Amino acid sequence: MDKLRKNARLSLSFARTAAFNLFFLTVVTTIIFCILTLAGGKLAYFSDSYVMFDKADIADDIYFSMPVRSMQDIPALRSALLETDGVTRLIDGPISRKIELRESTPDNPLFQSFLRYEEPLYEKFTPSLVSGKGFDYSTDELECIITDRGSVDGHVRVGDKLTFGLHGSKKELVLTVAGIAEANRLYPLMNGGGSLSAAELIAGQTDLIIVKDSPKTAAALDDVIGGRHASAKGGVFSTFIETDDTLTDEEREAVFKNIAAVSDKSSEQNLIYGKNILEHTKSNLADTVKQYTPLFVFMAVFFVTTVVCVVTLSVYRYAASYALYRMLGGTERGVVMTICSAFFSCIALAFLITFALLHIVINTHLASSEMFETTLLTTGTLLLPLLAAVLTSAAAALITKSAAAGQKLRALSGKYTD
Amino acid sequence: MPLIEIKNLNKTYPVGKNKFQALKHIDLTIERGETVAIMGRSGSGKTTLLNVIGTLDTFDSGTYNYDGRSVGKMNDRAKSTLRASEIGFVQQDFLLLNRKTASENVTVPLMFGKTPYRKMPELVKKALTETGVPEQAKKRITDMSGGQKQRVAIARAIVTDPSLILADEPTGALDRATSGEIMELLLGLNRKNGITLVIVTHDSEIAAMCGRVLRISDGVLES
Repeated sequence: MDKLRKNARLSLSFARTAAFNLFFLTVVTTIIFCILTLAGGKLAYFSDSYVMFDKADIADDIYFSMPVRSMQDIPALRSALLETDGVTRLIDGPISRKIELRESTPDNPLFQSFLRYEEPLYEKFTPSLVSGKGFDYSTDELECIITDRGSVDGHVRVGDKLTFGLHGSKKELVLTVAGIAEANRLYPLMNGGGSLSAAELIAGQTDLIIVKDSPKTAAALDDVIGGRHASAKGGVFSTFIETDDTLTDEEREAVFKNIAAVSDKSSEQNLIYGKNILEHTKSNLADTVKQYTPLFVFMAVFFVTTVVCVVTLSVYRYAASYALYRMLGGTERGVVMTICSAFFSCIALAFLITFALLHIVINTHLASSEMFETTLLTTGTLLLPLLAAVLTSAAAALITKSAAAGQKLRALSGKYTD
Repeated sequence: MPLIEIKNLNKTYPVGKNKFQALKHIDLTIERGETVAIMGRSGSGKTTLLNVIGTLDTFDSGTYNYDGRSVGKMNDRAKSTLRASEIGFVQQDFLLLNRKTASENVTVPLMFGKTPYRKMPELVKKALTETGVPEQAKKRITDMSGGQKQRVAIARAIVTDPSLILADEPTGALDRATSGEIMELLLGLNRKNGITLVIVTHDSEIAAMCGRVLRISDGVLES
């Protein structure tokens, strides 16, 4: 125990004077890495989207999206789709309508964009709630779910009541906040080809809310927001078409062709297999990882190069301390271990201090915890920097020993003493 | 039994493809409690001899026994242990850790020895008191005068209660008055504690203070 205490004290003494610059170097490098990574965020979005699609079990679905000249055209379109052989159910996408608020509701200056969620949609793409219970479709309560970002920006919590109005109308709508959801895991509005790029904007809209849309609440919503069929104006109709699970690939392809025939061929249409959406999302994920790879490589090279430079420039100082310790009775192995542990403790301490930040960045901004093994991610966040610390320390100690090797201890220690 | 017994010791250094013989057939015996001065001009081999005695340097042939133990047969660990417990070093340029305090410097040798951890502060205080600088314990080396630094260096040398102090030009960087004080301190430690003193110097006045004066020239010890 005595020996351990002595070694620890000697190591700490060396670290305080000789290796402390490495501590600051490690902290600064890690923080720079975190800042650069936080400036991004795409990787988290794509991985969260993949998880959302995977949970919604869309692999056997067909996504249908088509502009319509009038919203009143939609019921006929739906009927035609449902009558197609092999189609079991339609999960319509949410109606999106941006409403301008009246000035007389200053208590709700933030939330202006609405997505109306009917029950089948809510079940298929259940928002990932960070607080609150979510919608209860068995009641006629007028409820909404806001995003986590919206909650912060608007200072709104679960249970709060939000008032909405519409220019030109005296009617007001009061919605109770039933939950706060992760912005990355709301229903995406996909553009042609099943790309999520448009939907990425949704996640960034802090003013977005989703509103419970049921037969019990539809009338109240329509009064202020406007019903699905209320407007004669056109829009986009989108739906996930669920097919019979027992269909073979050939049969599903036949269904696909029949669905294509349903739509007006003179209009643009978007028809895509659910499994293709998954593949596209994964591909986007992989592309984004590739975009981040140079950043990781750059930071690693920067760190290693700078450490090597710092150690090399200071090696004679370290070597002089090495020689002094040897002169005063330290064994070769003991002094090398002291120097090694001094370097290691500085670098490891620096990583531990920034570990929380590093872990948050990696887990929340680089990857969804459901897509990457959380344990592996946490372990990797901690073990990799510690491994780097071990390697750097060993290298520094060996460089120091090599510099002192072949020299008379007395002569070397005479050159410089810290 | 003499403390130091050296017989027919030779030491060479490689110089390019050739070899330079720094010590030639050295025979030397130093008894316990002696004060010995080694004099010689620059390059005569006096510092090399001191380093060999202090196990900081090896030798090529001959025998060297320290307190009856063969140094030539010792491995690195044994030599390190010997230095940690038996030998103290005092150098011309002090060789202190400048960013540390006096007590931190004096503590370092105790880290390598067998002194119990809890007794270290007491021994450090005792050593600084014996060298006349107890009030400097918490002061950084950079804030001290040359004389104070050398006193701290001597405190570091004696903190492990060694049987031998090797001093290489201990007054070389000091003024005359301070040099006298330092020599008086070293000689006082010899008288009081029986520490054997071997001092390398080119100053004849310093040498005259010692009990025996040896001269070395071109690696040969003159009798």
